[in-house]
Amino acid sequence: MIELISEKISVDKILNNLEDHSTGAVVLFLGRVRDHANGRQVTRMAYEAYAEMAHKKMQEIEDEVKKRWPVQKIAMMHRTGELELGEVSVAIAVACPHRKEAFQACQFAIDTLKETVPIWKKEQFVDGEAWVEGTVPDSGITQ
Amino acid sequence: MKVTLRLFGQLRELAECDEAEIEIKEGTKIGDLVWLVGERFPNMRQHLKVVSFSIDNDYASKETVLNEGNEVSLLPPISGG
Repeated sequence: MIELISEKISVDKILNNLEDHSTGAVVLFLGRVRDHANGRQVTRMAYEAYAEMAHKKMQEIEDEVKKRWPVQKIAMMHRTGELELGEVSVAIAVACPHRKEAFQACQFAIDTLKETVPIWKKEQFVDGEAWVEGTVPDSGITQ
Repeated sequence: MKVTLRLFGQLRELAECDEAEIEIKEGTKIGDLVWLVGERFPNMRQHLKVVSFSIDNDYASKETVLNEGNEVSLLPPISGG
């Protein structure tokens, strides 16, 4: 399951999607909006995605994860739009036969998402706002 | 010939639009397009130093030669998660 959504991420929905009797380990990662960044107080966060490409890149992550580990089920969801403090911005869950591969697969998925999926966030402060300094994907251009 | 530029994040805000058409010569590569974009949107120039491009929903190298009607996305450094 891969979704970019503007509504709240439902952890129940993700876990329901991972139901599978052949897997004994589920690792769930949740990223949520933090109240500070670089010493400044964050009040909320806005996310923008290049939806078609983000979906494709997340599908590539799913394919790669399934190649590398015995992942039977994987769910990846990312929010877009305006989020309040504490709201979940990203959720990744994987189901594997055993915990070690589940932890590894989940870590790989979130790390790769942050390195390759075209999504941007803007922090809102008490006294202004700023786009978060991001990562240039490997295939990006640096002049 | 023309290509359509799609803009995201900070670049979209600076351009005050999410799409623009750019006139290019035949044989123009993505790497050359950076300069044309900088001429069209001078306030974007410093941000174009670190930018990625995509065509057909995939990252494209600066050696990619553009074709008539290509939709080229201009991607600032990503910060999802």
